[in-house]
Amino acid sequence: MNELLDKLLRPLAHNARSPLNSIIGTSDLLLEGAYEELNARQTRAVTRVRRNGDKLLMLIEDTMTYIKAELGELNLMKSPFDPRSTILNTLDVLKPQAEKNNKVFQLHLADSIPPLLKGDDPTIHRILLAVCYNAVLYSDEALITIESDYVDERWRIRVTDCGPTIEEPDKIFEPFWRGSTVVVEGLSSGYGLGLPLANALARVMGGCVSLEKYSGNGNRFCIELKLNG
Amino acid sequence: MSKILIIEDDADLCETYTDILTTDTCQIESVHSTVAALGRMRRFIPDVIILDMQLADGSGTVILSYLESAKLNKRVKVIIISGHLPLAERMAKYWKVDSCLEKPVPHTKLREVVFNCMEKHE
Repeated sequence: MNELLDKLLRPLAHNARSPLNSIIGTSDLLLEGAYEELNARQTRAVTRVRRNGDKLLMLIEDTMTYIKAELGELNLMKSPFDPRSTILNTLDVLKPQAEKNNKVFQLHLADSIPPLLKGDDPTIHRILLAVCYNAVLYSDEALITIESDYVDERWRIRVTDCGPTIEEPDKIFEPFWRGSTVVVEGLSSGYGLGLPLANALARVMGGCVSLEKYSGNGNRFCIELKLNG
Repeated sequence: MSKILIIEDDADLCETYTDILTTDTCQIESVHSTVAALGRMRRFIPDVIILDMQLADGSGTVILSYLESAKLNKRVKVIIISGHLPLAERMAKYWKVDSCLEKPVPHTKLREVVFNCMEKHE
């Protein structure tokens, strides 16, 4: 397995970057009007090419990050950050998509959360983004609840959506597994890497992402990270 | 007029870099192998080299080694652009290369780095 990884997958990830550079670079030049001004239809078409170049790049980067996390090859920072800001920044990123689809975030932050924790803030932001985006993507109803507290050196963030109950909970953390649930109109459903990657990254931090038993209507994910103040 | 040499084995990417960097004030040439690059530099000494480290016929270190032996390493600015950033960064540090970027490089970033190198050269 490791031989296949080193001989095939890692070189593929590196070599794919050259054609992607041409796709993204040439699209940007076209959109910039470097060759000639595009009309509206041409702009939409080139924007589509550009967007899909980004998607391919993200697919490659997420796959490699997942592999590195699973193999223990990821080196994470341990810098002080404000956990409340991390949550708020994540929700700010998702707000436009949430509002467009009539979703509202309800936030409950416990007093037990320290003002500063030590960890890799960009990676934590990435985990939060994946779990919260999943809630926006699959939630039927308006409300998405985010609750956070800090107990025994563990920072917990629970994200509860109002989507249909996940039918195969044991599979949602398998890479590239995609359920049959219909996503919210107008949002990209991704490749089935968001939650597995979030879980793999959380595990690097001595925690995990899990689907908790929830008696209400919807699903509740819990992000648990072992972080010191 | 500033001279840029692109050493990159992906011909489409050479063309993309050329289109991104084309201005009235620079002359851009591109080659796809270390052999062709060494040959080209006999008649074309660039101010800036854009260098891919993994070329079809060998490593970009051949070019860096040539620049050092020909005492051109202080005169010619080198920008490594690679699909394998950690490896490229190690090489850049060892050879004291001016910049090291990971593919895909945003077109605005490429212009900024190359034109900065050209200004330093002037």
